[in-house]
Amino acid sequence: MKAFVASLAIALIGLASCGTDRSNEVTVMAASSLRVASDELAEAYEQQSGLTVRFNLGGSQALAAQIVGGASGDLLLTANQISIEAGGKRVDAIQTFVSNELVILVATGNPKQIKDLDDLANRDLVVVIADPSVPVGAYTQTALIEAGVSLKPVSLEPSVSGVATRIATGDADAGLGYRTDALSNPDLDAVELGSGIIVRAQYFASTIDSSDKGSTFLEWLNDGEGALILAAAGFTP
Amino acid sequence: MTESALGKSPKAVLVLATLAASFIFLPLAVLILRAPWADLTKLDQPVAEALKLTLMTATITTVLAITLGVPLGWVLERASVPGRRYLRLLITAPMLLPPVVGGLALIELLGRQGLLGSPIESLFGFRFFGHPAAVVVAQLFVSLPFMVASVSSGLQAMDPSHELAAATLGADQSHTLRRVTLPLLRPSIAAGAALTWARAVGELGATLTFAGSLPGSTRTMPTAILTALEGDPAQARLLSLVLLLFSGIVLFALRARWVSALQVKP
Repeated sequence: MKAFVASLAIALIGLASCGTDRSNEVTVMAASSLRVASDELAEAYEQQSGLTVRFNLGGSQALAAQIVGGASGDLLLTANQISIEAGGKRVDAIQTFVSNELVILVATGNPKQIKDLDDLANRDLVVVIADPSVPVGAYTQTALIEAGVSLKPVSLEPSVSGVATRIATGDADAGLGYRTDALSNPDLDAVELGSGIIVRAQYFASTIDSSDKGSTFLEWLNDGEGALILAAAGFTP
Repeated sequence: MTESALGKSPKAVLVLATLAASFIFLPLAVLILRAPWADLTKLDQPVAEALKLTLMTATITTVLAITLGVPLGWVLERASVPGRRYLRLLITAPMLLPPVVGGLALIELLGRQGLLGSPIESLFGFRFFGHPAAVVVAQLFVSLPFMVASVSSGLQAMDPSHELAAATLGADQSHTLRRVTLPLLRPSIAAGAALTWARAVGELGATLTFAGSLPGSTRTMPTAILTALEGDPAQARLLSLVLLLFSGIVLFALRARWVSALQVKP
């Protein structure tokens, strides 16, 4: 019997020693679509400030729910306004951040010769889009309405990376995602929506619990070297 | 209450058992207590669709798992197969892998540009991606090991004297398997089926990766819950409850009917 109690105690002690010291860290809760720049941002900021940047990437709405649930973090970056407002009281002054552009994602070299949104609707293609409940999916609906096009998608993915993966693996011929996805993924190319339709995704930023570390990092993202890295990844101010 | 034919249960065991039980029940209790019950009436068509798809695919998966898993378990324990130990280990791999990786592996095999998927599409015009069959494939990949493991350990625990006696009396191997081994194995098969079904109902990673998420075709309850979690967390909690409720009812019914009917009395 003592063996059971002893092993329970050992497990709990082991668990306690798994935690890490967070005083030298900036925790950034960021929309999944920022993944394309996250590694480079973290590396550059660490060299400059000595602080480790830890990106917690996820769906914007899910990140907000995590914050409401008590997750620790310094900065929240979401792909739409509703999500950042859903962060509740722990979210401080909300400001606009970078923006992204909705494009048609196709395999590198555009083997199916896709020209615009009309093509997606009229030709026999396997198309995937994001679920309307996530930011990129909502922007997709906006674009389809503007173009007066209705699609028969084979899948409504819960994230933009799902859309990108489908096309990269060849399971889908095309999908709608962000320009930054096309730039960062060697298997993907971007095609304009066509007919002069441009849909921009506005990102939003706010520090969490008035974090100073978060505020300094956000300044660096807006005006420092971080802005250059974001621009190189395809985000526009 | 703690008195049984064997005497009084040791206190430490009872404390730890209580701890284990609360660990499982408390989160479920909170989920039930804090669910937005008032919204239950707002559950719409897509939920019924997702629920139906989940229960149907999981049931088909379980039937396939019995059909394929019982023979495999038997072969692993009773037939002479070279490298049996390694084979047994390999078969548990889907239990260790993150299901998403399983989904990627299935894309490589059965996706549109997969090793088999590509010829299947050009020969038969059939595409797994977006089709309910892909949900079954994903569920079967992650849950079949539970069936095989259950049958395998059932055979290991089985007293071989019955099978030996049958063989001594002149029964050939297939006769022994049908008349002696399988009836004795029923409890293990039933337990394996319940585990397989439960695992299939909750399957998310492999399904989403391989099959996609289209309402009515491939969007199962777990995928619907994940999607709702991104957009409307309260809705996700409600969906979880519906899934829990229905799975609970089915498992309970199975347990009452099936397991007792299949149980071999000693």
